[in-house]
Amino acid sequence: MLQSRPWTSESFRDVVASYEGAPDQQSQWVTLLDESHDAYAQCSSLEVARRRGWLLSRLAALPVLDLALPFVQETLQTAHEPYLLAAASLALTRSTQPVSEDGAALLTALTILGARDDAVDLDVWAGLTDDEEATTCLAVALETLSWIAQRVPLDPTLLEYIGSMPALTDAQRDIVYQAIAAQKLRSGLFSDCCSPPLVSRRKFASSSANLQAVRFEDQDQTVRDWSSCLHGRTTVVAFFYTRCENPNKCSLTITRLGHLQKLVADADLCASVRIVAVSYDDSFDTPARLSRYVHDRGFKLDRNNLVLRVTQGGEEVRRYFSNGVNFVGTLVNWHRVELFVLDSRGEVVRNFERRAWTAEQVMHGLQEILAAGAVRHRFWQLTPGAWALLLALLPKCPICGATYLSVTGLAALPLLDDWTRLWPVALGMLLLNVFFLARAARISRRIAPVVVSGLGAVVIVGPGLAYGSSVAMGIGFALVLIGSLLSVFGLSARALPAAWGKLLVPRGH
Amino acid sequence: MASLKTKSGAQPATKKSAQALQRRRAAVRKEALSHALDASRTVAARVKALSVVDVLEDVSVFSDVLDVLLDGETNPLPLRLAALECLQAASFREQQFAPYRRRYIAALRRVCKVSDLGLRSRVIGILVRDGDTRTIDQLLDGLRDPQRGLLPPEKALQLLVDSIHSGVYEVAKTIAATPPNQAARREALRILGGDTESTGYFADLLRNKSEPVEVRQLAATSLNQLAPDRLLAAARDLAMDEAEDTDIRSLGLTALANFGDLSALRSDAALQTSVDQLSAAQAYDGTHLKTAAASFKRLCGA
Amino acid sequence: MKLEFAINNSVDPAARYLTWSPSPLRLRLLDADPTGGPIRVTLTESAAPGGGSIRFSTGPTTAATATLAVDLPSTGASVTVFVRGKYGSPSSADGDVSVVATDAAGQQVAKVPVMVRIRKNANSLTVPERDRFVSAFAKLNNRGSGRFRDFRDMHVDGPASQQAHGGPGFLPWHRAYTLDLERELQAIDPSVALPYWRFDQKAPFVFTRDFMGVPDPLGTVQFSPSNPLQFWSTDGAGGVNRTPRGVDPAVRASPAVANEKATLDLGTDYVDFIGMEGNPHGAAHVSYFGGYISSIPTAAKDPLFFLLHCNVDRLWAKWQQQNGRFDASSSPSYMVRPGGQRFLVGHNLGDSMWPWNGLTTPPRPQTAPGGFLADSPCVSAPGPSPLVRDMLDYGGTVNALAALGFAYDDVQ
Repeated sequence: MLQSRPWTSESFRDVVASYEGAPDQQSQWVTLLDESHDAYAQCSSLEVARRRGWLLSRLAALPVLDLALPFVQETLQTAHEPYLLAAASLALTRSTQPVSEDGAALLTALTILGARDDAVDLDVWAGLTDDEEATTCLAVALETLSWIAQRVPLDPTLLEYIGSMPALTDAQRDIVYQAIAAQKLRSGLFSDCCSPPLVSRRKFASSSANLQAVRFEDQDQTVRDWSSCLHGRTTVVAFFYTRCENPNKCSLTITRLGHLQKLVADADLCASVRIVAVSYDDSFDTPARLSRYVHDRGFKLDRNNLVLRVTQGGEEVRRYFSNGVNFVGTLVNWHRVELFVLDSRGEVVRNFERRAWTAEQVMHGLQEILAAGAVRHRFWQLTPGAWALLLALLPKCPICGATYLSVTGLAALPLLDDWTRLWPVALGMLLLNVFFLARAARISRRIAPVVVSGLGAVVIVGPGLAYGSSVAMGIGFALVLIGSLLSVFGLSARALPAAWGKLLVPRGH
Repeated sequence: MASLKTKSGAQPATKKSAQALQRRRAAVRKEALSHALDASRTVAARVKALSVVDVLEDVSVFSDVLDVLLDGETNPLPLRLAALECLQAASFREQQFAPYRRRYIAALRRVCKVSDLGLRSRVIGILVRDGDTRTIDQLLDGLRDPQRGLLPPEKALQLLVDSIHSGVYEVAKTIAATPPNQAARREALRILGGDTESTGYFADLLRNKSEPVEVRQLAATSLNQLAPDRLLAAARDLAMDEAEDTDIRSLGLTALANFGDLSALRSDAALQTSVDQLSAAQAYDGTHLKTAAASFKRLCGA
Repeated sequence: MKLEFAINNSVDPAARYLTWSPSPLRLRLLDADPTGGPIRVTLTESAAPGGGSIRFSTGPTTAATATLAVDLPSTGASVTVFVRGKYGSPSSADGDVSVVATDAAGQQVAKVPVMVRIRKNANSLTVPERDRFVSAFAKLNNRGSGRFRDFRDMHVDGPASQQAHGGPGFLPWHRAYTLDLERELQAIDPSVALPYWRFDQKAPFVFTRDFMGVPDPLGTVQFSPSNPLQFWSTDGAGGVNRTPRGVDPAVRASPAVANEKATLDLGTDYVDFIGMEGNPHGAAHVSYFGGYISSIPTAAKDPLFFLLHCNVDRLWAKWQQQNGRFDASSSPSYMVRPGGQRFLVGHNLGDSMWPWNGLTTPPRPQTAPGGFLADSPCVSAPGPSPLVRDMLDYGGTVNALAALGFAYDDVQ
């Protein structure tokens, strides 16, 4: 259903209508709700709201709506357009098993509608009506309140507040009071065992060679590559942009990132966790603008807490994270709330999408990831060392032992935190390795091992370390290893005493 | 809260007189409303009476004032404008206004097609600033197809300057390229001041001496937002260019003085000398350039 | 003889700003001779022509005089007296008046420049005062990417607006808001005080291209090329919209806007005075101009908005002064709902105020832009997260420690 040209309102409605009555109608419609769908490309945010509202109001006509509920809940939590909120409120009533998060989201929507109500007709495009007797967005949401108050526990303080909102008519106030009464009556009878997980389990792409071309600019205007920002330690990545007009999305995301930062510091995990905020709006969000924005929302910047804009490879970044974002021109027209946790290799290990996350939820996830990672980390850090020691202890010539140690040291480097900053160590080990191989070559009079290993060293230092290519690192390491092994197998047992002697006695003696 | 006295327990005599005062005031407001609605009175008297009315006093007062705004058959335009002003002022009391808001917005939507441009323009402005999506769309439609325009293009563009997510950049680009008038061009450029794709265009516009000063000033503002470093680089050249328009030189100095790197400016000997010469030159007395030079010396003088 | 001056409990020059309220002035001998007796110095002022004037007193409530003799212990112990601006004689430039200490022989032994920093009628500012103000404001906005963005984000519609409007908290919230802005301006240029626009009087100096700008008939405000506000931009949009509505405030005051006398006569009880939120406040927002300033969601995009609200605050201050309404524990100073009922949270005397409290749980808005209220090197109140009650005693009339560090040129 992809279209190369921007969709018109009519084509959107036609597509929605074309799925009506289909066996997979709900899943097809839910696919259309994805924020990055072509259906929203290059149209205004007003039009995106209309399309999503239309879709939600169509979905509300289905008997069951569980597939679309994450979208419904996100809309109720973050939208500020009365029409969208009304459509989502109506759709919520098709949930077979509403949960307390749904109720909380509905209450949030009611607080917005209390300040911005409007007449609505959910059967017409955009909900537009001039009929002064038509129902209102607030009235639709209050009907849903009546329904949900029978099913899930609601925050009593917030309900009381909603009951006191000046915008309510007496009849509407009665609905809230009845909801309060229903809550008291059913207190203890609610079962809320099955809240869907906040964390999405979708599959992410692995780090690809294309990501090596990505360039970011940080708060200090320093150009950074993918691995220097997102490798080497557990990293939280959130997306936002400063021109976002919805305070419940980007402004809230950065505010919560600031809270998360405090929790991380309180847990003494600053050395293990990096927090990164990335702008969707890379052409407008300059480092100065970004720094100010995040600072004013309580997110403090330093070496491990970064705010970035993408200066090269924006498409790659969006593809990697499967960002839920779309654009009109270069400006964002719609996006979802999204936050990712990456492991030290830069792979997404957890993602929080749609339902507004809290700092505590992300912190909990981080602690789980770090705990699991610590076990693996210890194992892998010990393994190369143990292997190297074992090989070194076996009876062999000292040059071979030194070669083994330098190669295994190289292999262990990527397992260390911030290993990319250890390039001088890597370089030293490489030189050591080539030096020993050269000594061995003099003894064995075979030049091939040192040539292969030297080539490997060039590959590691060139495309590997200079350009951060993990593929080049792998190839380089393989060449160094092959060269080392060739050298070892080339030394005969007879040569061992001579080798010891050459190592211990300086040249010229 | 517990330590506070309730109003009922405080200073009974004062309270009594305060209540009497309130009753008198309520009577004055009631009388003012009846004067405002009295068609036999002069328009000026009715307008003056409306300024005393508190539209949030109760729902009937609100309805009466709203009817004045809506009823163009029997109410003269100045009275309708005064009614609008009354309602708009009340909308600032957001909590108290909340029960009336929906009717107010619905009424404004009805008024936005009245024949009088002044009233129509005001009402549309209120709706757009309130984020009313249908009004924003109507303005955009009108810009794409002038036959359907509710307002002249320059006014529509001016009102849409903050609706950056509405797709207004594309419309503004078209109008900036083939403007119906200079005001429309200016407003289109003002909108594009937030469009990152227009950065190069504004950089060229700023240096183009054949453009009016107002347009170049607008280009500088836009560039300052989109690419501050480019503006500051250009500002230095403009400020030191003796063949340049004095207003543009003033603009350059003002940009440098307020947004430039202080230490770099203080150590820029050529610029400092140029500013010293400007300050001393009697030829520029009384001009903005002289003022800008004085401000520069105050803020960034070596 | 070496003297140390600590004004407003600090030796930092950043704290040497005074209002009409007494500021502590602590003196001590730095080269004291413990064997000698106390050394007498006389404090007086040294004022530049047209500069501010100061007065001294031994205590915060004792009469202030032009000179004050102080005996400084030879032990080097401190003596605290008080210094304040002489009402009616504010400064017009930083350090245009100094505290001077002379010894028994009449020799000057120390001189410390200070400023009587007072909020003034914008129409009466000197040209340098005006220029410093617009420059600081332009820098605070910094092309739309500066700290000013927070002030925009605080004053928006919806739940955020309900924290600030339509209830008794309207005046305290806007007092905190303008104070926060003023302190941010002072962090850029400490000599700046927020001026007020007397919207019940004509203001020809304010509505010029060199100051708040002049709108063309379409409503786009024009600034002179030497005015840094020409670079004003908010939310990705450049410039200011201010559509003329027929009454040019440079020429005359709008008859629709209640004048100062009518406002102060609204009543002696806060419940009556708060009616000023409609007129003159609401009326001033909509009577002169359409455009940004005439709608809540966009009003703070226009720098004129802050001059308007400074005047709203001045009217409250004047009403407080006329009626002695500084004490939060006195009911006419504020409003309490009968029967133990409460106003919307944020409007009750003991409530903390959003966004400075950082609370983001409904009914508070979900985000709290801007963080804490800016602090001041001169006073400690109201702290980073003020309560509604903290806004009442702005001059420290009831409690000297409650002073917020601002004053108006026509309110003593």
